[in-house]
Amino acid sequence: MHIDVRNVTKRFGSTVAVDQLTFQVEPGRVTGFLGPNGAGKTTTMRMMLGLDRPTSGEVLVGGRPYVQLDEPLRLVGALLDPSAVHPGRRARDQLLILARSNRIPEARVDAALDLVGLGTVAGRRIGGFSLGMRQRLGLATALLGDPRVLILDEPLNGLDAEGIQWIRGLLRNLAGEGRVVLVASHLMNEMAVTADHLVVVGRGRLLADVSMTEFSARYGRGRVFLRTTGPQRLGRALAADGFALTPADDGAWEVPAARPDQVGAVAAREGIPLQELALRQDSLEEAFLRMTARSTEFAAAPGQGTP
Amino acid sequence: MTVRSVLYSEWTKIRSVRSIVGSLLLTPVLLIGAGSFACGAYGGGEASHDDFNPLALGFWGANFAQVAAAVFAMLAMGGEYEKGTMVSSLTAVPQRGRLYLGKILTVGGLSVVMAVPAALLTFFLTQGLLAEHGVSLDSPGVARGVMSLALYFPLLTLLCVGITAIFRSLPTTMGLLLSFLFLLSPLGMEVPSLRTFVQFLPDRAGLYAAMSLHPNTDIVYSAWLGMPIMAVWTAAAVIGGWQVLRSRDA
Repeated sequence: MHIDVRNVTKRFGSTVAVDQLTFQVEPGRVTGFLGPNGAGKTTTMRMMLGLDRPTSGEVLVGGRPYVQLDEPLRLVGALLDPSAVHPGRRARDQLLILARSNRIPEARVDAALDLVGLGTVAGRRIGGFSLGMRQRLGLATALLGDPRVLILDEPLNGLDAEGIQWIRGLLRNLAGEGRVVLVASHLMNEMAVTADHLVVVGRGRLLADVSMTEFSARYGRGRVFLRTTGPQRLGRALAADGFALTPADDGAWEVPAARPDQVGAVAAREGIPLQELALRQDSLEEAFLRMTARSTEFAAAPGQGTP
Repeated sequence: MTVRSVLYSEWTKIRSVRSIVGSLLLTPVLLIGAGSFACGAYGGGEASHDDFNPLALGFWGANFAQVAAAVFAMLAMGGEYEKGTMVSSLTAVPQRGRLYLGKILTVGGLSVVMAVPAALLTFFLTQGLLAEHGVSLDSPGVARGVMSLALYFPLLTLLCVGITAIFRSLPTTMGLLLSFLFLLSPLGMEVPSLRTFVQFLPDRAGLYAAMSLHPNTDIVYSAWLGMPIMAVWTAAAVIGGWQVLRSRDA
């Protein structure tokens, strides 16, 4: 069981929302679907659910297009827009509507509400719910059919710290049970502690499809932070080895794109005293911003130079 | 997935929103109440006029009841667009034909269940109140009128479902239908140059079939054709709605 996005393009008029996107979402891990706002994440998820049709390419869930699934909620659970509920309905009725069309037993409705902590307000009208409660109701909707595949768009929105902690645990458990868990977010820091694998998109294109560890190693650019009494000498020696010494705050110095052992070796060879030597890693947020900023530059490039 | 489970789900959607249930229940109340009031209070006076039509007076409430019925149908369909619930409806039932059919059958079915007894009750109650001025079911044209009144509401609600699906917006549909069908169309009948066209509008055709006892020289078709004319409009709206739902992204 997995989600298969195959060379998918989606145009809205002249706007290309998704551009020849190809990736697979595997079971047993939390896959973070990351990209800035407007990168095409939601459109891609809507195509997974048969709400939007790809202009070209295909999206398969468990080997079939979503619209061919009979009683799809038993296989796929989705959270798209938690505010898309009728405020006049009671929470329980909201789930009951979906359960009945897919012949999901009524007991699952109560189980799902209990699971997300809404058991006590099941009979209340949704209009009185806070953003966080609506988010939990959306999650209950997604979990209703005990699905093998979960497609969640920004599930951490509107939740307090405790709620976020709870969702992270829930997502890990669901993935641990061998389910497919796809979580879209525009915040790298959220994903850094939640996801095992990352699919990064920018301007509708695939920028990275890597494990979290690989992402940090490859894109979390390292730099060396140091203090020394001989910055001029060290700077010359480092330049000879192809590194640059740049001033940092508070009289300290930095060597971009270097490891401490490389800098330490140069200092030892030249006999320059070091008071401090450490590795500084760019935050993943910075790495992510750098990556998506580059996609914007590339997207703008073809227009340049043409009359 | 069975049609039955979709119908059960659609019924739950309607049952769980008070405004939808309320507008459906208000329809027979207005139909029976307004007709009975008119016949009880003004029946004697009206009966002295030459052009007195006991059926039209008895069914007077249809003018108000149709607004409630239209609102019921527009809320049932348009609420899905207005509140964005179409997304979750389509993720549960991605086969759009099945979803649309479920909506049509539920709204239409509830309208039939509401309208048939309401039409009969309205007829017997109002004609009873008119006493010697009233008509009986075996008088010429009366059976057609009662049947047409009972059919008028299901056809009207399905028309509204179809038009709502075409515009995919509750406010647009409400503004358009309520002003066009229930304001412009009755007023248009008073303008001789518009009358030739306006009499073919679905509400005019349907109500003419329900209320006419004597041939009306202003209307160019027979009262028996009223329902078929309205049914053509309804079919066109339902098919149009299906085309939009089928082809557009949700």
